[in-house]
Amino acid sequence: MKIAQKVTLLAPGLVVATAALVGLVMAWGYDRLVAAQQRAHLQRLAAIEARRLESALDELRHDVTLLQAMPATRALMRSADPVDGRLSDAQLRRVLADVFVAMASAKPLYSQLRLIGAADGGRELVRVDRRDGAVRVVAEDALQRKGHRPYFTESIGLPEGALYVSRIDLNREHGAIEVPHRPMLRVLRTLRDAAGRPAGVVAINLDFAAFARGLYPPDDDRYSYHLADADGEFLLHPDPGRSFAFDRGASDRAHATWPALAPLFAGDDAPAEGVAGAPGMMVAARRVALRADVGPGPLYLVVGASSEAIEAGEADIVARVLVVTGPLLLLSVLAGVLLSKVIVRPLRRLTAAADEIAGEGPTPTLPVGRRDEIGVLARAFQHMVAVLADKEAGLQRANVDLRDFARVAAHDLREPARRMATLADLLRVEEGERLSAEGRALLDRLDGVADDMLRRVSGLRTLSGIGEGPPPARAPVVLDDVVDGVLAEHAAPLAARPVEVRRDALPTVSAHRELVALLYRHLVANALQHAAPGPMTLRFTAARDGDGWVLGVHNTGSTLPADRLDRVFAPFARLDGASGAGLGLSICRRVAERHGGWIRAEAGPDGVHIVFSLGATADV
Amino acid sequence: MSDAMGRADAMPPILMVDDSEDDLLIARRCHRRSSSSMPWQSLPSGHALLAHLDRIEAGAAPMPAVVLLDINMPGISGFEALERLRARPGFGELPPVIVLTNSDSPADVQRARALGAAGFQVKPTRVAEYVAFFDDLAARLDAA
Repeated sequence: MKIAQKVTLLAPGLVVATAALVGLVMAWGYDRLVAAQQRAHLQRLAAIEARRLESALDELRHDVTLLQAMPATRALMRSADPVDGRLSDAQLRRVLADVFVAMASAKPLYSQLRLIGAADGGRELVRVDRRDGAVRVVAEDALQRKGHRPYFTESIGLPEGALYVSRIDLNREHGAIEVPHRPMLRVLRTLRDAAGRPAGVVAINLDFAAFARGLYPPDDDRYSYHLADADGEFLLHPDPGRSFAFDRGASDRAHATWPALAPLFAGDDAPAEGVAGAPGMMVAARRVALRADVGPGPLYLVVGASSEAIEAGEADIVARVLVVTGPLLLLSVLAGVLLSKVIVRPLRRLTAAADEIAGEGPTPTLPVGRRDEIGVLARAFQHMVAVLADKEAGLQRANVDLRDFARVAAHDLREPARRMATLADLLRVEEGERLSAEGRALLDRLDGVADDMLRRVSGLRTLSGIGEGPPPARAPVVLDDVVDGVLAEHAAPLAARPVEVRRDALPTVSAHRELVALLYRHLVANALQHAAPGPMTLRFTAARDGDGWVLGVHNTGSTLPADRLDRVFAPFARLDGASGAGLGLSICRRVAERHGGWIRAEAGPDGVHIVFSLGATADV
Repeated sequence: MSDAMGRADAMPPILMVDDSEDDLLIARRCHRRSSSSMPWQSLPSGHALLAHLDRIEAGAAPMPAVVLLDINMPGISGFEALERLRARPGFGELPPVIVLTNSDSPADVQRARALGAAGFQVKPTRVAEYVAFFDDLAARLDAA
């Protein structure tokens, strides 16, 4: 992967990773915070609800105290001087019944108000019932004896004014559990007569189910409320089937449901409140004292919040957080991508520049104005490119200069060389007869030198001429014809010695005819010139090589040292003692290279083979 | 120049224009060895040729039978001199000009023809070739 791509991916990746990490840490902290707050909130709620329960129970206590302190009650119990001596017991009972009816009407949760006498087996003296929403005074003949009921037997012996609270259980009428279930809380206060003997009790029956329902509506979908007695047995449970299990001979206890609450039920030193986490919910419990002189022990209020409720709150907050942070995160990622692109852009430009230079494209613009490391790199790069271009231009100039020099030299030298040759000839023609034999010999040498000079200049002209202009136009060239022509040109030297000429099957190639003829002309001249006197073989070779041909001229009678094989193609490279301009093989190489081919020399003990290619010379 | 300023024979001369004294010397000697009996005149530059045209117009110098004109000369080249010569009234056809030069470039041959040269001759190397050139020239001029 390229550095630029890495940076482009890394920047937004880092943003996302950082956001995810921060989010996780915050979610974890938030979770803990919410849990702690939820716990504190539940505890506070439990405390408030417990106080409400206490207030309600206080009211009940005050009401029963009021009834016990009524003059009519006291008169009936002979516990005080009659208020009005004229009133009979029956009248007093009616007065009291009126008071009971008034109170029952005012307090709809009171299902029964009674005055029970100690005499006659605990016979009810006044009784007001609530039946089907209507308050009515029970007729005298319908009054019952309650002397056997635990609440009576347990309270009647208590001192004057003592408060007795019964165990909360299902109501029984005539010895059977009333259906539908009507859990009752009975609160009693005792009365004694003037002699101090137990005279009776005042009792208020509280419809506990309605009382609890009023305090803690069961349709609260955020919190669930439970009430348990001193043993932990449920008196109120959101699941109606779980209330008063003990009354049906079973047991369903709070600290069995939430073991963490067990310490609350542990005895005198037990804490007044506790918290428990349970699968799917959290509960806070609080003890509520009944403050009775004799009673069943305290009540326990357990307030629960389901995890669903807690999580619903959380989910709401998380959703809000996501709504805010989601676009922010997206923005950050976008900014990261853009930023990395900006950072990476000069790097990309440098890379592109390097590619273009490698591909010999135009010199690209580089971020050289930057003041950072990339700027330094770009400037160094630009300098390098400039130096490179400068050197290349210099090299090209030198090449052009060299070519121009060769051409100019060839043209310019030809003129004096020709004049020298002509003047030497003129001297021979006009003054030859008057010269001594020695003078004529010197003139011959001068003639020879002038001719040699002309030849060399002519070769140089040819060589510099081949290298100029566009590549040669190719056309089908029948090599056999070319070789025929070249052999005819060299008829005289060929006839002067025994030469065996052989040729392979020569192809027709796509090339420039004149240049190919020039090449063969020089190769033949070269072979004839270097072969030692005596019989020799001259062979024109041809071998298939991929798309093209490897052609050549082989001669016997001469050889080349291995270290000279490459150098014979350099201009003016001549073997020791050889005559000629020394440009023949340079011209051959130029011709081969102008065709996109190559040329090289191979040598054996008694033979030299110059082989060459004319590039892709597909058969035509 | 002194040759050109010399006698005004009835016979029209051969006029050679070349900046090289060596080439003038070689040509004059070879001409002398040839069968040509025409007078020999020479000028060292294109400017000198143009100035000579004034004298011909004024009747102070004879119209040459032929002008042998070098190409590569300092000042104005042979081509430019030829162009200006042909541009002058009265010199549109005559004298005939043969380009006698060191160059064998086909481009130069073509250009010489286009400018109205009657012939193009590469300066020969051998004296015999030079003499033959003058023999041939004399024969052609006689025939004309």
